[in-house]
Amino acid sequence: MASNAENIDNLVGQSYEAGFYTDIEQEMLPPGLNEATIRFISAKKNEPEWLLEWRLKCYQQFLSMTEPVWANVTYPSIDLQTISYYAAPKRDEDRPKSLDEIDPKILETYEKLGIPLQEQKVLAGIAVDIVFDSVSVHTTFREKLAEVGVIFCSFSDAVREYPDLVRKYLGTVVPARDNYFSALNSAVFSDGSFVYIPKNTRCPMELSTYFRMNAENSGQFERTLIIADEGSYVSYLEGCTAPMRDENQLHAAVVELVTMDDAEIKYSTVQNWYPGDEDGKGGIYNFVTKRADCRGKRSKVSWTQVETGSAITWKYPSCILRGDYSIGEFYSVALTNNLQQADTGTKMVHLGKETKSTIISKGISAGKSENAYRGLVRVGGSAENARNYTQCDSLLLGDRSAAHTFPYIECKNPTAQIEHEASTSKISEDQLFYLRSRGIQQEDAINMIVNGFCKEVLKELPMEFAVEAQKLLGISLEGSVG
Amino acid sequence: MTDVLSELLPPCESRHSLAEPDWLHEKRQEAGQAVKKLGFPNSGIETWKYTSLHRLKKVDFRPAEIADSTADTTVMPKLEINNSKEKTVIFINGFFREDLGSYKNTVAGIKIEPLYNNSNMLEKNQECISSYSNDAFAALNLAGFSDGISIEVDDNAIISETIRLVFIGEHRDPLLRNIKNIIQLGQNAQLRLIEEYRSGFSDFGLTNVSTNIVLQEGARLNHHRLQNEAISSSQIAKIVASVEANASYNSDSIVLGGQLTRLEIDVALTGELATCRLNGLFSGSGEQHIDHHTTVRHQVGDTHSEELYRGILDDKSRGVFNGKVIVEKDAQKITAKQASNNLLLSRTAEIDTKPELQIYADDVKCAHGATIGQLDSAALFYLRSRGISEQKARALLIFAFAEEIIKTIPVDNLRSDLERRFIGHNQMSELKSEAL
Repeated sequence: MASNAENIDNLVGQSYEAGFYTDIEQEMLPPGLNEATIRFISAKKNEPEWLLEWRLKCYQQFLSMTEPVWANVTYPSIDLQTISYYAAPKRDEDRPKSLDEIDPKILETYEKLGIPLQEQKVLAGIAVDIVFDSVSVHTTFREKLAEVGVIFCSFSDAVREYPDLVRKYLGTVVPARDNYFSALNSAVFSDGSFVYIPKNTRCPMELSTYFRMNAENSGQFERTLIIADEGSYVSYLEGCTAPMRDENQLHAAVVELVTMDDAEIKYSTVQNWYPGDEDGKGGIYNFVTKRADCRGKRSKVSWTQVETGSAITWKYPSCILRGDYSIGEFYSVALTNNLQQADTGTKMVHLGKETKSTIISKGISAGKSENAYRGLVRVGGSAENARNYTQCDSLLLGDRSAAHTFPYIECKNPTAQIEHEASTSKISEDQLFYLRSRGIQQEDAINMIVNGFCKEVLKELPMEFAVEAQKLLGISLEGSVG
Repeated sequence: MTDVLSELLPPCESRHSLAEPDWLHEKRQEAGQAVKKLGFPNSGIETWKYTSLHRLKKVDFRPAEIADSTADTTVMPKLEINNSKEKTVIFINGFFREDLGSYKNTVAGIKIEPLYNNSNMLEKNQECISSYSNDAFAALNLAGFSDGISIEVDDNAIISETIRLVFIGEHRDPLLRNIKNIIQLGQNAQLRLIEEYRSGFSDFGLTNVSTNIVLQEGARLNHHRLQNEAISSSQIAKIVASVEANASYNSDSIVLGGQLTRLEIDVALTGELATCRLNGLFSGSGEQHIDHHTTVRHQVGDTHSEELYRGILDDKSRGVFNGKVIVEKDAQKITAKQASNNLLLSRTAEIDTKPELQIYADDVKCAHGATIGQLDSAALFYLRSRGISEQKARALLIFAFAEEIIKTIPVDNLRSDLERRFIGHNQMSELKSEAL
């Protein structure tokens, strides 16, 4: 085992692959948060009056709230006045129409990240809405999607072109009052993605957005709204990497999903933001509110996430199972290393009859990291025959890592059936020995076991993503395990 | 109306006629200040999230006085206590009644005394008596405790007699009974203890009990705790146990009675091979509220714990279970198992369960499970197809669910007594003749 420990030390040193910084001119708002900031953002984006009013109302609510302290994470209190709330690539007036017009430096950034835009267009058939800092720079395949009536655009475009839809759904799933960070986001959100799938439409391709934070000191406040109308289906992918930086960056996104009768949304995330260095310096604070409202009968929302990045993750993708027979699923792999802290899980709120939810959560903690699953399963009095199955397993790699489980289970209906299982252990010596005796290197063996441990979740990811996720896990794992 | 917890603080002189040591007086004063500061725990405090004290706040409690211990003893025969085979120690309204119990200090190796008379024991346990951290009821207990039991078992003493502590509450005024118990087992000592709470049907009192348990190396305590008070009485209880190397603490908590019952068990495994087993069974009907909070702290390596709690909730009752397993840094080679199974029998009943794991070491095997459900329809159908009435089939299945816990109790007459009371509590008259 002594050599194991050495291995860990050696491998932990592996550095962050996606860490680099692109130096391009930015139009930035000086740091600070007040009503004028919000008015500036709104004006800059040519927003209608109602949206400005909504932002200001949310800001007022935000002012009355305090930062939550219940999560099992520690960090210095964030001074919101030191954050700049708006940054956009400079040439706003002459937005590029094709790839050739895009700043070569931006293209270079994507290349370093391994996102060959052209290749993706052709090979994967994915429409990519790239968010470079706050403003959507480039949208592809919009026309093709428009043929079937699918709207996939940046949030700002949606506000301009489909104000009625935005107004109807914005803030109805995650009200501003929901929590401190969602209120902040509602007041100052910069941009994000908007998706609308019309009735009885199966979205012809997987929709994907790559988020990338870049400008120094710019907290990023994404806002995503996806509406799946009756009988529709969409699979949405979200992935992110961030450049190496020493200063902590706050990211407080809000994602709202709405499904009507018989609609289904599959939302997959691979999150690999800069986690900070070995001493816990730098890294992203990822405080995200994601929620789905299954309004319609027989609707379904499936969250899949692979979380390997961020210094601190605070994230609970949830499902409100309002419609009868609706289904909520949550599949998660959360990996923490060094001094990373993760407090993540889900909420399944059963309101409708015959609603079902499944939670599979796999936590892996290495180094000195803390990894917590925090989940809520609530069955209301009206949720006849509600069913929940929860499994959360934790794998510990290294004797300084910590794994926690905080499941809240509340049941008010006697016909409900709820099962919860959790286990925490380290990698089995027997399994390791077996693989080693077959001539497999220690590192590969651990990798194999961990991949097996996460398989249940990884198989839920769309093909293109599964490959990336596996690669990511591999990098993070090889770098942390002996 | 007591909206303020500190209104429940007793005036100093009323507690007991005896003078108390200066340090205790001082600590009580401090605790009194803490009670004023802390006030009633509210739902904003994580450990009180699911338990509301609004009913208690409506009652005008009065701290029990020594005069209350002479309350009517005609209820005694009805409680069927002195027929029991065990050696009984009886408290009435929080005060020791030497004349009523069958235990006399003649058993070798064990000394049982009222805590208040035992200044030696008080002195020795100054530290644990004085600690209440931020727990308002523990502070209230320190500030106001009238009496309690002090049990000392000598090193290597194996006590074959089962000791049965019975705390009876009976008064027409709603009394606040603050009771403090200290139980200490010397090295390799063994004891079996039944701790029972009873109250008269017209009792509206609140029992606030705090128990400190210390098990020295190799000691073994089997602790069977029964909350059998009338459904008009309430209880808030805290057990803090420290288990040294090779020692083991086995606890059963059976809650049948009480309007509101809140029991906190906090066990620290402080030496290698220390083990603890916590079992619990609670059965609520009417508007009963039953709350269990358990914490098992694995402070060193090679310590083991097991926990199984079962809840049955009918009518408008509400059950709360929070089980926490903490494995501290460098505490390797740990096994910890925990399960919470719950049966909801009515549309208006509610269960809130939260099994928690907090692990700071890596070489561990920890698992927990929680289930909530109703009676298995296939099992019901099977019994019905054998010609058993629905009512009886239900009763059988509920009884079988509870039996999993009851059957682990190794004292024969206690077990059958519990079975009988469980059937009575759940009004399963169909089962009465056959089961016993």
